Amino acid sequence: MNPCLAELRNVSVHYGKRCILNGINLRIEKGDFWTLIGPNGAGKSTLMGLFNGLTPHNGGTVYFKGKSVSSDMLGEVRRQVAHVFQATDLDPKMPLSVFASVLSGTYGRLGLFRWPGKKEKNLAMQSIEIVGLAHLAQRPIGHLSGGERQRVALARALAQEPELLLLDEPTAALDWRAQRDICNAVATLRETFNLTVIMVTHDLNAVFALAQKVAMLRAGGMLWQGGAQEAVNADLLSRLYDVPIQIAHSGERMAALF
Amino acid sequence: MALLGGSVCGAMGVFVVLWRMSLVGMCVSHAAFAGALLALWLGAPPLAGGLAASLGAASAVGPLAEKPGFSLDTAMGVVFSVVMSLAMLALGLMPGARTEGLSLIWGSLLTVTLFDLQLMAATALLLFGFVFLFFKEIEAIMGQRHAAVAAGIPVKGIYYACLILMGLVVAFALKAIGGLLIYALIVTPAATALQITYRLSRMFLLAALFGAMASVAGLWLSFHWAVPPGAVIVLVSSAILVAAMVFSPKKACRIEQASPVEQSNQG
Repeated sequence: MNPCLAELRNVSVHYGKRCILNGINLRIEKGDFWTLIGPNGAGKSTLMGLFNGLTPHNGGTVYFKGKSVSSDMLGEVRRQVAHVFQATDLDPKMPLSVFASVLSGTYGRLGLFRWPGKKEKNLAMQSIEIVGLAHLAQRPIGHLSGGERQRVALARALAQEPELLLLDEPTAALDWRAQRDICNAVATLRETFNLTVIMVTHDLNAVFALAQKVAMLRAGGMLWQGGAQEAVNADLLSRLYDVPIQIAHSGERMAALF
Repeated sequence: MALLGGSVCGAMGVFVVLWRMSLVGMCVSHAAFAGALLALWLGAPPLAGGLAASLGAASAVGPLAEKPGFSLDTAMGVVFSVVMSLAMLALGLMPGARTEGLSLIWGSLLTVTLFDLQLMAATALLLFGFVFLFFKEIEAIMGQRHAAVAAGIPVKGIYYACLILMGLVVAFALKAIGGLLIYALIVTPAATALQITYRLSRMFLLAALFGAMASVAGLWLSFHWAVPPGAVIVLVSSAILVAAMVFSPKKACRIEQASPVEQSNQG
């Protein structure tokens, strides 16, 4: 068993009287690739935010590297946990280049009143090269397509040199090619840097292709968690989404049909 | 004062334009206006009233803007109406010729004292010092605020510092520019700079330059035409914005770049 990097023990989240997550237990080991799946409103993004304190919890304990995550250590945790959000619209006139955006990934670790030096600039450039955008490094970020912008977000996360990478629906609202590019980039990053990854997604095919472990959330509770191979189960997935789902096989690849 | 006030308002506008704080900025600037008029009606120094109201509004709208699921648009619309009503009420209740009160609406650079100038110089030092010291954080927050929070950058602290600075800028520039028009001098030069550059450092410099240019030119024209300076300053500033939009190098740049981006998507 690999050492534990992060853990949720009996964690609950309430917004007022509304229960968002209830009694969640999840153990993330170093090098794991987890995907969180479930219907809209199940609490997937809320759960993901627990690991870097973006989601405040009302019950239970969140651990990161063996320590309970409290408000006074949020800064320290956030510098080690990179978070990639869904692609959002950007003003095409935004005065921010791809390079400057990726370089900003190093600023959390660098701290206040310190300027990025050669080390940080090299790290940013390497991250841009890894996601295949070196030719766009000086381009304004607002001029990129949605898929390219998500790869910039991945590069920014990588420049943070994180121990844990959180991906919140990184392929949402992207075309097929951009989705494939993002999935390939994530797979490359994980293999190259042995990153621990937690990804929220609605794309079951990405789950089958990338994940080692799967957590299924439904109505704020953990319906099932286990290995990715066992998760490819039509009955289980049908129960999760409340629609009949079939699994199709094409060679070694699998696809969900609904 | 025209140079200093114009450049400070212009540079302040970069935050308003890039961090999409237009409504927040509008409320803070009009709260300062209402505060100054209420102070004048109560017989207190208008500068103190403007300062208290703008700092109060800045610290009140900050938490409102942070509240999840809260309709900021609606709240700011209501706050804006209330502060404008208070301003008009104070003006209506004011006895006598109301000359000083009316000058707060249109602004009067010619009545500015040495003390006003010293306050504005101190604010300029604070603002440009803030931009210099926290430039990388300001850049990181721009357009990717959630990612900056998640990376451990103290976004909230920087945002609140920026709101306080806006309160100071508005309060100290109110007498010169006027309560109805100061917000335009904050937003317009920054919007003009955005048409021209893709670099944040240049955007700060250009916004300050356009603000100073509009103030000096507006003051000169208002002196020659014997009209309120605030109105002329804002009209000059808007004319520069229109010219920048028409001749913006970004227009050509985007048309040229459209095809390679399209190709990379397809290929």
